[in-house]
Amino acid sequence: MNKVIEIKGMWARYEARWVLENIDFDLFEKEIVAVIGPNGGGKSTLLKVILGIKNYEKGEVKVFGKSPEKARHDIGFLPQIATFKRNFPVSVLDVVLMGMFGRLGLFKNPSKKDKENARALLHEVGMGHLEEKPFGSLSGGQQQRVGMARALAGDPRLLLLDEPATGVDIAAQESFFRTMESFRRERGISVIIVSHDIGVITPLADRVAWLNRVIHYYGDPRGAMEPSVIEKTFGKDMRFLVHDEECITCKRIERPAQ
Amino acid sequence: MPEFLSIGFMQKAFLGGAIISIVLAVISFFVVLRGLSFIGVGISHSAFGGVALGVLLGIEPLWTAIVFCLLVGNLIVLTGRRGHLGEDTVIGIFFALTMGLGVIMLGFSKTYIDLFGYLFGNILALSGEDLWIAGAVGAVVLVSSALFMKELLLDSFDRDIATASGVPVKALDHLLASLIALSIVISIKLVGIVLASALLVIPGATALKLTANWRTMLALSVAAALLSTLGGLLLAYYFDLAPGASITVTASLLFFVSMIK
Repeated sequence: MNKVIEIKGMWARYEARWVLENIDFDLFEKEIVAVIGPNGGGKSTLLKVILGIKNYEKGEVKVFGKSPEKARHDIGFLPQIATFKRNFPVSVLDVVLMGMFGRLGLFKNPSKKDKENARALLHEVGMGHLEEKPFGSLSGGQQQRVGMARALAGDPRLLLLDEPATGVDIAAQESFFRTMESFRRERGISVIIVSHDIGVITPLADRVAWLNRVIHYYGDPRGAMEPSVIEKTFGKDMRFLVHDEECITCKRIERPAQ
Repeated sequence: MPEFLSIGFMQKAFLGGAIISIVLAVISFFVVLRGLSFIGVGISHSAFGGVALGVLLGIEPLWTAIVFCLLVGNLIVLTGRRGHLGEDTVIGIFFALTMGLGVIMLGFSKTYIDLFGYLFGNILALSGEDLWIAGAVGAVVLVSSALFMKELLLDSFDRDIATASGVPVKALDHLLASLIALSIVISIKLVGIVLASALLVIPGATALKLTANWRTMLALSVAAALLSTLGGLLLAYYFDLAPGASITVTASLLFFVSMIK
């Protein structure tokens, strides 16, 4: 399988503070990778480096074999819903059309066909009936679905989702991730999901990266629940439950020895 | 024809007011959506330094004000981006610096100028040349806004998405600061340096209270600015009020009415 992203020994900082140190990371075609870590651990910065909107200091970053800036049109990005201005006067359809602006380039407006494509995407994410509604009037879960339609409107090969489960109820999360999984299957896109929530995205991912300034673990989700890895990423005093889908045989993981 | 429209200076005032209102309303749309109200205040007050420089050098103050405002607007963008200070702090510094420089330069000048007219507007003194300048500069502002509308809109909605989409966001910052500067300079005779920033904020804010559709917001912003300017001019004519103040008070009243919705 081809590599979509290849990062080697990458360092990034905000002023004097290093937020990413010596990052090695890769992503293959059609793969879903979950990047998990505490707030301020560098997860969103990693996405911004991949998007080419945050400079890195050392190392190498290749996206589809190119520099991140040159690969922008192949990437769909869904930021956290908390960053949207709720009273911004755009309709749901307007928001999806915004996802096409990068490919259209300067001085070209969306055509009738672009609008038809945007409507089709809205139907695919189950929001077709809301196309004329003001975007700010939607619930968090609905905004995430519209955001995903927007991120997919540029026909990307890679989707980056920043905390898609934050501020969204459990039913909406479930529905959102099912839609994402179907897009991966049908369109063959690769996905990186960033979250501080261990439980939500781990079951979906092919691989999991634990990130808190450095990557403490990157591999199979089943090996990600090692107390020592979690301790390194989130610090000490972590307690959590591991359970199967039905949660019949829940097992409490013991706190790591002090 | 109504009596006030048969008077030459009132004809010019209405025509100039309409042109300037449309230009300010479009820029107000972006100023409100991007939360740039304080930049408007900073640039409009820097026009004072530009006017003073023109008076000191014996050049038409409008031209020096254009250069001064363009320079200050773009310096605010650059300093805000490169420095460790917040944009509001940078604007506050430039605001004080340019006003201070203006007062010092006027102190060296031996020429009499209508300072009150520059500070609070004197639309009744609009000349034919002023109208041509307002029309030409206004056309530049409107055409530029139309050409980059979708990029400016996306950048206002979410900067990260805009950057990730390949929109040249830094260049757009400079474009918008320049368009704000040009709009302010042509509005100095309408409402003056002190009140110009009001028309950069109020029409857009009024429109945003009334709609959740950006196209309607743009149209309502133009309507609010025209109604404020033409209504304010009529009130000034019939009740012998200062036109600039009358226009901004009318615009503010319209905003409060829009809040009732």
